[in-house]
Amino acid sequence: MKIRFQRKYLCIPYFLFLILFIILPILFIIYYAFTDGNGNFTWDALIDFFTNTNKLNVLLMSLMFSMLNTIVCLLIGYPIAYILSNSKLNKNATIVMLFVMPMWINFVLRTWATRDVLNWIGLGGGDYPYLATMIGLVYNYLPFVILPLYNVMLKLDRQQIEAALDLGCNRIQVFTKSIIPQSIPGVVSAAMMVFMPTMSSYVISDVLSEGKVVLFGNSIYLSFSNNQWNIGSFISLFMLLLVGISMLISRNFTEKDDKKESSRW
Amino acid sequence: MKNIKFISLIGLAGMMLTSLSGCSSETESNTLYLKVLNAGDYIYLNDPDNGYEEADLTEQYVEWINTPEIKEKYFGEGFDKEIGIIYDTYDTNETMFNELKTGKSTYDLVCSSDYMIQKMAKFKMIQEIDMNRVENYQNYASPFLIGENGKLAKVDIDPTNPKLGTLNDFAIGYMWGTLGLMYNPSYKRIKNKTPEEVIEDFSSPNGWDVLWEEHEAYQSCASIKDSMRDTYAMGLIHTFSDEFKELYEEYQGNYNDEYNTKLSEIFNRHDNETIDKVQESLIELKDYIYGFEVDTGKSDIVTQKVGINLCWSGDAVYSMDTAEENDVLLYFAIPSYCCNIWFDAFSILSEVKDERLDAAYSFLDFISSPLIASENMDYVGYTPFIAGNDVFSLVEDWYEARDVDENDEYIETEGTIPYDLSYFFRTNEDDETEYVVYVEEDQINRQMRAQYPMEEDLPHLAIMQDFGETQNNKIVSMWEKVKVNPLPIWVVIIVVGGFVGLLSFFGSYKLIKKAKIRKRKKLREK
Repeated sequence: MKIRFQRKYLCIPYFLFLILFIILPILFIIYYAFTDGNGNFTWDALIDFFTNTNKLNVLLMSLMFSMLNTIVCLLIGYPIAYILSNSKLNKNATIVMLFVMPMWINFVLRTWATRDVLNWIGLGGGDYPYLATMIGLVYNYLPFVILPLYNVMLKLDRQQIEAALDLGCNRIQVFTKSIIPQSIPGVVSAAMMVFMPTMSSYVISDVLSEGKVVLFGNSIYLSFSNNQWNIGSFISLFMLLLVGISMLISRNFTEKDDKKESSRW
Repeated sequence: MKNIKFISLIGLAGMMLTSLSGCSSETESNTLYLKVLNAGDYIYLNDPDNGYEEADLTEQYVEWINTPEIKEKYFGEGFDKEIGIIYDTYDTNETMFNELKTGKSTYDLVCSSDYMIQKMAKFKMIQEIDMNRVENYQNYASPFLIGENGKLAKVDIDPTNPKLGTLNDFAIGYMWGTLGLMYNPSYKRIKNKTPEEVIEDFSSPNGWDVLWEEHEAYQSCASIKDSMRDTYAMGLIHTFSDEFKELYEEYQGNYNDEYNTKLSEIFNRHDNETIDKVQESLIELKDYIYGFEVDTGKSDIVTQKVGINLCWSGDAVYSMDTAEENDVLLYFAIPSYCCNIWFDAFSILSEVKDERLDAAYSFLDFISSPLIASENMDYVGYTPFIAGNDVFSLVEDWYEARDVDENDEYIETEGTIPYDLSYFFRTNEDDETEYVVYVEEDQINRQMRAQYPMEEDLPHLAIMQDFGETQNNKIVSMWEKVKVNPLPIWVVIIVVGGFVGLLSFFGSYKLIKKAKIRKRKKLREK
């Protein structure tokens, strides 16, 4: 008559967590997205979203910022990661630490500090809202790009690079034919780490553009703060959908990575 | 069997827990907790570092109400429960409304803004107040605001149905103030204007229009509130500035009640046509200003990030005080064509009754006593509804600029002017005291004017009422349009094209790869 401890009981806390903090909220969002104020089923929020030029404009603006941010972050982060992976330059990985260090400080605090710095050097958000937002976004998401790329770069197959050199490739060809294909999984996961969070970020755009740039996150906040739960939920749901699609696409690359990993062993 | 045991164990644990809490609730059931909801940073708190030695206002209340005589006065004889208080805060009126409407939380007393009280009364969420039970309020609140001729009585809960009563019947006023423009006349970015010209610009009757009409001089100097209602008010006054001007000139020198009624009528327009016009004004304004701010404007103007800020009077007083310490002189303007007067007030939720209702009234009476009100005003910086000598002496303390002779009598001092506050502090008709403070000359455009508007400002002040559900939604989408920047068509094409291209490239990456491998295999076979 004793309660036998079973290993599967260990799952219970995680299971509860999953339900309470992930599944239930999503169900709530879906519920609110397709009901009206009285709880009746309706497509109003969906129709409103796709016919409202403001909302579509916000969507495009967010997409634009996300893509630009991803591209700029990759352009800056890729060479940095490559250089850092070279152990001659980066003994004890100290420099990587330096690049990643900003992540240790809360990003809202950092954003307010960035606002002061930008004002000080004359690039204040009031005068250059787009530029200021872009600077803030790149600054905030650069570490998220450097880390995965750095990890991939560490695992680069040096023999393959040497072979390419031996077989007559010049430096540029080595880079395009060997290094880039090898680092694609890192690039994709880095892009994922930047693209989706940028879409939903709203503190950075709000603070650094002095409220002049409205991204998806701001739009959701505006809806909820004005008691328009249904449309706000629909926008959130739409964003979840976008996240889902990009996750599906990125799976294409991680699987390949796994196979490669296993084949290497 | 094992399962049963497990369940019974949980049950046992549960019983133990309830019995434990049972013990504690037995002692607690003797305490009645009054639940109060107020905006954040809006009540006196103990802060010895800054010279606020008294205990928190809520603690003072608990101590006061638990003295036997006081308790008997409010609860009747034989009431032996202890009174406690649970004091929570919210950040915006809208979130507060949501919280109460969805029934997620229950409160006895809630402090909110004028339009929100109107809305809650329409939804029957709050109950009518029996003024006779709030003696201090009746005796000391300024007749300028309450009573038959006060500002509150001018706002019907539902203009289409006057039977529902006015705000006066549903609210116990807490703080009030105006919405105006704070500016720094010697701000570095203002072009081609001397400080004197700037002061003249903003203190002219059409001060609001300056931001539009003189935008070359004030380009990128101003920050306005990232809040729909306040900005709407500003846009509306500009949109109808011709009408306001006409009215202003028609009644020149005789600004009576009729004038104020007409003014309020224009100020409270929210039909579709008006919304469209205001939208145009605001979109135009967006190019001229530095930015929208949520809560940073009051400090930005001190650190000189901005030179002009649309702000509430209490924040203005705070900024002007702080700026003075940094040797920056800020000014405050409430232009005469039309200006918004707002107030925050407590209301009692409709389900509150019996002893909870008694407790609610006791709290309202407590915060309406002049001594407490002055303590509150000293800490919060906003102007309370309550007149009375305690409050007046605090005002004198802050603003009286005359020197005193050896007998502590005021003597005439150069550079001071009389500032008459009798309109506010005369709480009954027989009172003939002159409530006059002699202030430094520039106070007329600074703290004093923000703390208490001049008597001649009063006819130009209007309350902005609730827009109603449908129009409110329209204004939200208007506001969204103002905030969103329309993208040029080529950007749209590039963004959409780029996104779809990327998606399809990455989506088909694997397929292409496989096809390539197949091709190579075929080649090899050959």
